[in-house]
Amino acid sequence: MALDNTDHCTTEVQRITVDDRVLSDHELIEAAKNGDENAFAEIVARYRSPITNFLYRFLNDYEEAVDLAQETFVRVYFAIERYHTGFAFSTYIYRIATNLAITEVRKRKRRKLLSLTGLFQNDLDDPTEFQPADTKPLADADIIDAEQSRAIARAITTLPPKYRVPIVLRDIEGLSYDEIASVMNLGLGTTKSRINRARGLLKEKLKGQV
Amino acid sequence: MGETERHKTIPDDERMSQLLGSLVRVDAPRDFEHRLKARIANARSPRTARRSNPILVFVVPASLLVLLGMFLYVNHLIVPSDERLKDVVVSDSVTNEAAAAEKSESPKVVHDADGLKEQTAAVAVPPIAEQARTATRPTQTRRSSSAREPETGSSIVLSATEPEKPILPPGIDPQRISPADRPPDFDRRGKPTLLEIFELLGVETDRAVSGVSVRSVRKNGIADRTGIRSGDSIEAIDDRPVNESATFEDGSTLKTIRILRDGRQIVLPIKN
Repeated sequence: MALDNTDHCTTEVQRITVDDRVLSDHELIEAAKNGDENAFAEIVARYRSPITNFLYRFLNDYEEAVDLAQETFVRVYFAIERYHTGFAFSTYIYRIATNLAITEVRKRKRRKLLSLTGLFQNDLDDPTEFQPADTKPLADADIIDAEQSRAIARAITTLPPKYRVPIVLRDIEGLSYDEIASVMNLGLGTTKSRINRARGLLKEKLKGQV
Repeated sequence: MGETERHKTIPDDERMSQLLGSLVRVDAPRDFEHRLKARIANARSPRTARRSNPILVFVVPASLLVLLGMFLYVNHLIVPSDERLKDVVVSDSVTNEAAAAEKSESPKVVHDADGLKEQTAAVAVPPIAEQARTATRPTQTRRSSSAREPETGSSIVLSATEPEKPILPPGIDPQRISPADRPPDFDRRGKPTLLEIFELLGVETDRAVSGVSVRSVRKNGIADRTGIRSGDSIEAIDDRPVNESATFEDGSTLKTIRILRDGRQIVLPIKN
């Protein structure tokens, strides 16, 4: 589950508890429906980093990822009345984020087609990559790792969205196959085959680089 | 690089999965919630406005349509029908007068009816038949719709009908008539001539040194009501000197006549 990967930011999260019990997503949603702003803030705190990370790995553009993550929460906020608890909230929010990301990719394609200046730009320099603060002295191994990470990130963005979504959700966000199938509204078999195909494509793209 | 060696560099699915999982995770910025709150606040007002849109979407166009319908009804259904009736009356009278003029082989002019004196409603003045216009039908000069003018009785409006095409022998293209063969008043067609204006005013004139001298004034005609007497010299109409080259545009409104009487210039307002 995505939330398992957010250990590094748990210090920022102010959990709403009742009798020392952490409220589930659905309980928070119900509270938010009843006008509890703190409940919605808790939902944001739980999912802001996983969604931002997912979008960043999907688009390889940090600023755009943050923008779309915020748009995702805006949509959740205004559609919260329509949300029903038949589905897991995580799949619901990832689906919104996925749709926004796919729309953004299409927009970029269109812009690239229409923009004359795009002919003279280097696509790889265009997006804003995330540069974590690093206080350690640079070692050769770190440099190699950083270069390898960049190569992988670029390779991911070259995948078609139908392969990019499942592989990012599976191997980076750590969602289960069932959850991914639910996010993408696909069958389990199709989901698994797309993930395998995505890995194969990445291997081909990263020949000699990793 | 050999095939086997190359394959060694390609990671298997497991390794690829590990590589992807080892990528650095990014966090949302610290001001994420603050920016999100601002964004929701911004989005809230347009969304609220959008909820009221259905009213605007239906009511505003509907009212505009109603207004448009009223406008069309008033301008195209009521007024035009009246106008059409007027046109019918006018054209009938014109036809009758023209037929009468032709029947009696009457002279150049057909006199205006005497009943014009006190009338302020629209009256069609019969056409001035058979001017000296070669091969053209007469220009019909009429007083039009004086009722539309608020200052009724202080001016007259000239209007001339479109001249019809000249009747030419077969085989001659009217467009190809050389300028030399054109009738002398070719360029003045469609414009009322001085003769027609004097006929409209009700005066018979002779050429004088300056302008024209009035030989006789028709009783109860416009000139009579305006105060023109026989013996006066008409020098200008609406400050435009009266001479052979004087032309008046069709539809123009005549308001004043300048005459010379006993050596004095007098400007008379036209009384319709």
